[in-house]
Amino acid sequence: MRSWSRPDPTRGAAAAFGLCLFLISAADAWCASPALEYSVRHVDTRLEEETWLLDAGLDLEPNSESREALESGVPITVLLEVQVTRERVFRDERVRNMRLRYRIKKHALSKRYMVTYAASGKTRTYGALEDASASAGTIRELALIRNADLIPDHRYRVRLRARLDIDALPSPLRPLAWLGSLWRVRDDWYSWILTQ
Amino acid sequence: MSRLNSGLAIAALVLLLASLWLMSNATQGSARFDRLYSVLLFINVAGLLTLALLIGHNLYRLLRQMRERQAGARLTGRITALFVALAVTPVIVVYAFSFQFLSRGIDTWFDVRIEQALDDALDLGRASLDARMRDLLQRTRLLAADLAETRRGDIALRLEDERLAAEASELALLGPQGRVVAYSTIEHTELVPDRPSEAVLRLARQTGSYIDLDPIGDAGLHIRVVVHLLGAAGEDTRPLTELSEEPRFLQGLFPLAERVGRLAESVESAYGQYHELVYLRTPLKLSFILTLSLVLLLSLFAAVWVALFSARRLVAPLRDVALGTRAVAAGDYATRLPPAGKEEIGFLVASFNEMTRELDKARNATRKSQRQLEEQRGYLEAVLERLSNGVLTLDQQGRLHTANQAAQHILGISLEDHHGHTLSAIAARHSHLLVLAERLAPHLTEPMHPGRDWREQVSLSGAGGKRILMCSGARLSGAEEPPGGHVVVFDDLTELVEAQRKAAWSEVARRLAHEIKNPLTPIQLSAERLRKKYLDDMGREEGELLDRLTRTIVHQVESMKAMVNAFSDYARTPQARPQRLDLNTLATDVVELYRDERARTRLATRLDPELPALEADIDRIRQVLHNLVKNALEACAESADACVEVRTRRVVQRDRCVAELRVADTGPGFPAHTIDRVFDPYTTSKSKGTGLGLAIVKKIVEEHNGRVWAENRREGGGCVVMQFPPPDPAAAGADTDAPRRIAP
Ligand SMILES: Nc1ncnc2c1ncn2[C@@H]1O[C@H](COP(=O)(O)OP(=O)(O)O)[C@@H](O)[C@H]1O
Ligand SMILES: [Mg+2]
Repeated sequence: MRSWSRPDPTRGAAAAFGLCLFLISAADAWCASPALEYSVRHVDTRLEEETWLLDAGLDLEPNSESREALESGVPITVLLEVQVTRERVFRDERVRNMRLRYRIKKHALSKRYMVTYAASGKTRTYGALEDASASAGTIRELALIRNADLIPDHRYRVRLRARLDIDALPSPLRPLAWLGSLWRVRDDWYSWILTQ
Repeated sequence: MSRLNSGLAIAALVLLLASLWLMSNATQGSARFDRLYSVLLFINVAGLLTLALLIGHNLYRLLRQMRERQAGARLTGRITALFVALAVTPVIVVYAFSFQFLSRGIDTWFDVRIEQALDDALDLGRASLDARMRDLLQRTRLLAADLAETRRGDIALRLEDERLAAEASELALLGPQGRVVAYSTIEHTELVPDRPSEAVLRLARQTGSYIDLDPIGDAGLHIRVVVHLLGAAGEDTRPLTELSEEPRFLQGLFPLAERVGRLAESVESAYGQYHELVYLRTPLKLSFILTLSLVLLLSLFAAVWVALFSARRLVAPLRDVALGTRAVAAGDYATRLPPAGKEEIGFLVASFNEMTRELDKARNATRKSQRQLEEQRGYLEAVLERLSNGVLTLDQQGRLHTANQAAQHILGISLEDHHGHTLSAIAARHSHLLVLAERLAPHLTEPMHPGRDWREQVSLSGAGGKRILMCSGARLSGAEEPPGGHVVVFDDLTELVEAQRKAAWSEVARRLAHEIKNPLTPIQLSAERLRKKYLDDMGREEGELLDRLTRTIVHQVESMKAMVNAFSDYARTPQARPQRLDLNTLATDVVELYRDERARTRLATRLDPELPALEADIDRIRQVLHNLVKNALEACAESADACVEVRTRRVVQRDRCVAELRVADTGPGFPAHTIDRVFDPYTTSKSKGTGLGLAIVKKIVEEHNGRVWAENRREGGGCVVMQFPPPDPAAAGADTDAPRRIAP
């Protein structure tokens, strides 16, 4: 008589989960993908002519893969997201959501870095990557919200983050970048209260 | 349902294939699907996962079925394995080769020489521009020196002139922080000229000048020259009142010659694209392989799924047939299988259905005839049960097979426990049947031809009296179980014979009484007249003799008259006047009449207070008691310390209550040779007995639907037993049901 031992389902699930973790970390270590770190140098919100304006300076730090891609002539796109939220008991309500895209590309002949602001198509060039990324990380007089649109006696928050726009990468790079972003996923917002 | 499922599955597969195709397009750089790449990838992976889960579930189910040894599971497994093997092998081979080609093929795109050539082209481009750049720097420096001499009011005009002369697209004077002080540009729409970055100004301040290529937006490649005015103009400290700010830098933007510019751009873009490709080599390979693997997995899964599905479809009718066969074996002939197409398997299923249909029909026919047989048998049994004749069937060895109710009734025993016993074995238990067994034995054992009948009259004597049976029998010729055997039919003739005898005796008694009674009165009168006439004339002695003789004649005639009256009493059937009567009271009354202190015989009564009441003629029953008590006393006359006991009892017989009356004594009992006939008229052992006492008793008892018999007690003495049925009009009317049973 043959006996079949029934596998313990919880043990199986745990094993599968462990395997997934291992695979993801292995993939992350093995084929590291372009990504972007950032730190906030300064932010400033002020009311001018009944409109809230934002000035901010971010230090963008493309990782080594991003630099390598840039040096090889692959353009990368920095995505700055700015949101205004109203505080609520459960989930904050998103009042404004703005996305600023900067495309950075190296010009091989001149060895200069071209930074193109996607919304206007305006391009500036820089001799060093640091200058280029500093330019991409600078927000000047961005109109956040009109003061009239704020509901009185409510707390509003402004939050801000920068990351690499994966969908703008060439398609062969995307799966890995996507996996990597999955792996690095975390709440990386920088937020502060909009003082009225 | 399954059609819908498979339709859905096929639609899903087609969708997956389509999205895979789109994805492979996107991988190859088609701009149209580029944006969709991530979504497509996600859809494909999710679809494949779903498919894998589906297949896993199906395989698990199949494995479980195989383990449980379900019909068809093994075959399904084997066909699936075969299909999968057939489909997978070529796919894997193609995959392996494609993999190889892909990695090799992509590698061959890249060549060290091409890379070198591109690098050289770029260097060449730069070198060819270098000369012009030096020239431009020189010109700008000269211009800067010139401008230092110029009057401030003319500066704007001068800039415009110089720009046109130098074929620059822009000339601008900049302040210390890079703010524009004055400018001239080729593009009038552009309000503000292109400002150099902080780094450029820094460099110009430190080294006095800056020159480099600069790709400016849509305008294309330009040469940017920035010269520090302070260095060029020496110690110029004159205030420039017309200008808002003291100018510090002169910037010139010079376009390349059209042809050079085009060439430079072309080299630039080729270089860029090539290096991008080099950089993307590994990810590109990976993503091609990813797409390829997805295609492989999709076709694998599709193959496995199709294999599972078609194996199941193929095996389903076979499994149905197996299950159907099992059902038929278990006796369920109503099994019909769903039709399974027109191929061999369909033919098999059709044949199976045909078979079960025929089996069902046959079984129904059998059932019907069986039911008919049973009905006939039941009918026959009912007839036999209703028959007043007893019917026994015996097998070939003379063992009892069946017996009807009447047979048990006539024989006075229950035959239910005697199935399979021979008649002699039954007789050994019930001695009164010994004669019957003996007389029938030769007919049953003797080998006979079927159909030949026999007849035999048998008289049995048992506790309930003598019974005369007319038996007839025949050999059975059935081939049925048990083969052959005998049937014995017998009829109770006792009553018929007795009735005949009684009728004859009544006739004799009536005639005798008539014939004898008529001459008796003249004889008596004659004798009395003789005495009257001659007594006085005769002498004393003769007179006395005559007197004695005539007196004897008269006395004897008197007693003869009494005897004749008794005869006519017996023959006459008086009108019965039934009434409710308590037998206990009557018995006490009669016994009290006979009680005599001086008599040697004791009289005792033992009366049951629960005795049911009778519906009877009190005078006739009293006569019965008189006759019996008289007989008992006569029987005890000789013996000393004798006892006569009258006893009543309530007897429960076949769920009805019967009143029993017993008159027992301690005398010599009935003589063995006459015990069968004591109830016949003129059976007497007494010199002066008429032999009518018990005959009258029997007549009266039978008039009351009762029965009577005589028996000798084991402890000595005779006993006459009577049983009267309860006064139930229905039961009294059912004469055939009157007990004729030999008491066990
Ligand atoms: N109690 C008894 N004990 C023994 N024999 C009896 C008894 N009763 C009747 N008999 C026998 O039955 C015969 C018939 O009785 P019965 O018909 O009364 O006629 P009778 O008394 O005139 O002889 C009797 O002659 C006697 O031999
Ligand atoms: Mg008598």
